[in-house]
Amino acid sequence: MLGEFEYLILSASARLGDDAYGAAIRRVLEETSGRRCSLGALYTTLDRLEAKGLIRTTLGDPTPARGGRAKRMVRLTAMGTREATAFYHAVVRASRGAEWARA
Amino acid sequence: MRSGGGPRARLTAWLMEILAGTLRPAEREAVCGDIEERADTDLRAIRDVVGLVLRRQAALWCAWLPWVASLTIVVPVGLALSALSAYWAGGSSIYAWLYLDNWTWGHLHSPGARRELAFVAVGLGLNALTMAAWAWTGGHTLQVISPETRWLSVPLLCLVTFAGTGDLTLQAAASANPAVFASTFYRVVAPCLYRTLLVVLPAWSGARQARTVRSGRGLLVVAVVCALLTMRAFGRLSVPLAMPVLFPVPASAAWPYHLAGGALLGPALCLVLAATWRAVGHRPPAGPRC
Repeated sequence: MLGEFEYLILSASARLGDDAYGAAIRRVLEETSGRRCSLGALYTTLDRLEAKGLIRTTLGDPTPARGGRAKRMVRLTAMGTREATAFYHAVVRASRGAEWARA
Repeated sequence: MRSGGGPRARLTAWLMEILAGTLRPAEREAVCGDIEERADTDLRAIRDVVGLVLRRQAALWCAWLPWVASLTIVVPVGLALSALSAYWAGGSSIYAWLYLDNWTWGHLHSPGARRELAFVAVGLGLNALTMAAWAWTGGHTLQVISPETRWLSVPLLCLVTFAGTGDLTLQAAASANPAVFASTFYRVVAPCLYRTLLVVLPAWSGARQARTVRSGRGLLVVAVVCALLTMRAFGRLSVPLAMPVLFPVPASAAWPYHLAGGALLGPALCLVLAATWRAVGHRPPAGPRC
């Protein structure tokens, strides 16, 4: 079973598609959750997800906007998609009947 | 990463380089790029990188190798270096005071005085070389045992050297030579300089060079030299004129000395093992670059 933060990262990566990399995922996480996301939490969780086989990361091309530094590109694996889907459905099922889920 | 600007921006860039240097090359590249792209405030950027570095180091210390390195190298070698560096710094101060603060050309006029001066210069120089060799092999061994934790283990070795025994071994020299140690320079500054130049710098250099040294024969030579210097320091090897012994390690004195022999030869033994390992065809990983 995924953790909440792991699920949020998988969702952000899925939403960004081919543009999913560290800074972009962090921006989406902060926009959607309304909370600040620390670099340490993001990168250590990316490592954990990769170790579980839920994502695959590669170094992308350097860009001038990043001072010529490469991006850590993130791509969901089939297992990652399955796990995120299962987590989503579990949350939906668990929320049925709850006051905040009726609206 | 953050170029240009005033002293504060330069300080931030320097700090970021140091901190990011502890990360693996690929991760450093991505992290520095992310920070550049986000253009956060300097403080926030530093806080972010510090957070990541702390998490990474904490994860590394969950393994047993860093603890083995700490218990077998940092504590015993640090305490031995601490005791002997203060002892030899005190001895060097006595002769520095004698020859530098009270210099007369008479030291060069008679053959006996010249010979005495040469004996002291070579003896103190060999003591300094021995101290640097011990610190170098200590740093090198820490890097070999646990490469990625050297950012904490080597500073810890230096911390134990500075704080482990304080100036315990300097006090005996100070009480016997009050005129020398009345000077703040010889009492406080000289031991700090001695430890900085002959322990901190060689230990760091040894750790850095462990990432690039690939020759088993080179390590073996260093280990043999270290063993010879250690034997000389303990008064077991003396070649008159060539290897004079000045301030040998007392055989039965304060407790820190009892640790010294085994503790200081341990890293040299590790070098021999590493050299043998490489001689049979193994190559160590390059380790993180900074």
